[in-house]
Parts: sequence; structure tokens; C-alpha cells
Amino acid sequence: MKARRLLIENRSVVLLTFSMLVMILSFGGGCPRNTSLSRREQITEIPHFPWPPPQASATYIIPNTLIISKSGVTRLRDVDERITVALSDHGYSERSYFAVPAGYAQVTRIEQIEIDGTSMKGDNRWVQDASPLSVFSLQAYLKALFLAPRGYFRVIVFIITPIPFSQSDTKITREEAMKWLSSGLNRLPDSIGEMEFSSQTFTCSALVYEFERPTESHDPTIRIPGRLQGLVHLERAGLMEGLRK
Amino acid sequence: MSKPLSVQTCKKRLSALWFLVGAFLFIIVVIQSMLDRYGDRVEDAWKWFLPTIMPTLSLIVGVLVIDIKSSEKVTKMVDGFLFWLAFCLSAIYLVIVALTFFIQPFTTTPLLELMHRSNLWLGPLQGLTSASLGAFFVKAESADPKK
Repeated sequence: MKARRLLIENRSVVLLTFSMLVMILSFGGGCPRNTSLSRREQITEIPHFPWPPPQASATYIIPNTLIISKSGVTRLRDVDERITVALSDHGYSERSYFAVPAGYAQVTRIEQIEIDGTSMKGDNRWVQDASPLSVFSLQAYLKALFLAPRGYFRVIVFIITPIPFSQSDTKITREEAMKWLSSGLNRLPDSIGEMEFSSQTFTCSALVYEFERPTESHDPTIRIPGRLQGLVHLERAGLMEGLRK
Repeated sequence: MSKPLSVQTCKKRLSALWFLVGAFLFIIVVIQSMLDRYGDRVEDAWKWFLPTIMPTLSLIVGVLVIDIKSSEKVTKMVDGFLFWLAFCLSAIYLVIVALTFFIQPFTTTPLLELMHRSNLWLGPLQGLTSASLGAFFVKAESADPKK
């Protein structure tokens, strides 16, 4: 009886030791991680873009011929590189990334634009407040005195996904759009970048969120529908030219 | 004691100053309102502008109306110091009111906010200006006719 109890206790100790060993090997740094698990973990860490996307002022579906690689397989990182180069060439040096179903979203920093949709020149492009007169001219002075200093602002969101989507009824504020830049990732995660971009299923949609401030005493509000079409925004921002290169 | 001045001349000078500058600023606010300078907050602009100049203009109009109705034709003389004090304070006050409009394009402060902020210094100055104008008009009424 005593010998049997001793045997059971020994078995328990062995089992306990074995299970601890398994646990250490599973979670320990020495064990190579399962690649798919690592990817899944990375995906869950990526902040998600509001889905379906909030109502945009204008949209445009960029033709896949402009973003796929001329040779070989196109991956999402290639698409990202193509868009990033076009953005960088036209002054959009700050971007952030979000996960969307089966793809990603790339958000540009909010910029101030002219009434025709071209990006404002100089540092005023990135300024949110009405700019004072820096150089005096009678025409500019009278304009500032008598006309409301309207402000137009734009955020462009590129959404690359094979999943068709509509837009929600949510109307975002300028502050929410500005937060996108800081709440997203600074680069496209490898787990998403490795995904293959099939031109049969994937689309690259550009959603333009345009905000208008009627006077310097008002807060900017989103314009729905926008004054300009999505393609016009992308053309005037110089991005279509960059993508066609 | 400053050199005595004709009451009628002094009143004309003060009226001219207030009406010319007042009308000029009034036209500016009208044009701004018509061109949508204030957006849907145009009422806020008028709520600031009218109390800024209307009380003093009303006082001057009142004095002028009394003068017109009065049958007295004698020329009265008044101490020049009181007139120049009222005139200079009025000029300074109106220049500062005008500056609120004309300096705004060089600042980042919104015009309506600047108007609101200017009440800090315009309030006391308006009090001083009105007091000096009142003192001048009271003194002018009780002045002795020219000998």
C-alpha cells in the first residue's frame, strides 16, 4: 500500500515536471515561433481603421494598372511603396497605417488646400489656423479685411482591400481625422505587406475627407458632398502624376 | 487756463470727428457683413460695434438737436483745455476702435475674438471719453456769452 502511494507520488512529480518543461518550451525565447501565429499577432496589434469607413467628401478608385508591378507578383508592400513614393514626391512625408478587412489603409496628414484643390504652398500647408499677412500688399490686405479667410483642409485615405465596402453615415470631425495620423502605425507591417495583391480582386480606393472653415472664428466641418471629385483632388495634389510615373 | 474757444466751433469739430470716423467704420462693418466676413456670426460683430460708438454719437446728436431748437444766437466761449481733452480722448478712442479692424489681418487672432478682447481697454477709455465730452458740453452750456 505504502509502495503504491510512493509510486503515484513519483508519477505526479514526473508529470508536473514534464508539463512545466512543455510550458517553458512553448513560451520561452529559445523556441522558434510559429510564423502564422506571429503574423496573426502582428495583425491584431495593428490599429483598425473605422469600418465601414466614415462618409467621405469624395472617392476615387485608382486603376490597378497604376499600382501593380510591371513584372512578377505584386504584394501589398509594392503597392504601398508605389503610393508612398507618389506621396513623398508631393510633400506628404507623414503617413500612418491601419488594418482594414483583408488589407490596409494609409492616411495622410491633414493639409490646407487652395479653393481649387491644389496643396497650399509653403509651411501654411500644414498650419491649421488662419495665417496672418506675412508680406504686405494692398490687394491682400483688403482681401483679408473684407473677405472671410475661408480655410479648406484635406485628408486622403487610401484603402487597399479585396472586399467591397460602402461608407457609414458617420461624419467625422477635423479633430478625429487629425488623430488618425498619430493613432496609426508608422509603416506597413510585414504581415500585411507580404499579402499578394491580385488585380482581379483588390482595389485601391482613395477617400478624400475635405473640411471647410467659413471664417477664422468657426471650426472646420466636413463637406459632404465635397466641392471637387476624388480624381480632381488626386490630380491637383499631384498624386496621379506620381502614380503614372 | 487755455485760450477760450467758440463753443459752436468746438461742437462742430467734435461732431465732425465722431461722425466722419463713425461713418467710416460703419461702412466697413456694413461691407464686411455684406461680403460674409463674419459668416453666421454677423450679429456678434454688430453687437460689439454699435455699443462702441453709438452712445457717444447719440450724445452729440442730442446736443446738436438742442442747439438747432434753441433760439439763442449769442456766441459762447469755452475753456480750450476741456475741448482739447475731449477731442484728444475721442481721437485716441476712435483710433483704437479702428485698429481692432485694421490690425487683425496681421494677427492670428480671429476678428470676433479680437473685438471681444478689445472691450478690456475700450471700456475704460470709452468711460473717460464720454466723461470728458459730457464735461465739455455741460461747461459749454453754462459758458458766458462773448463780450
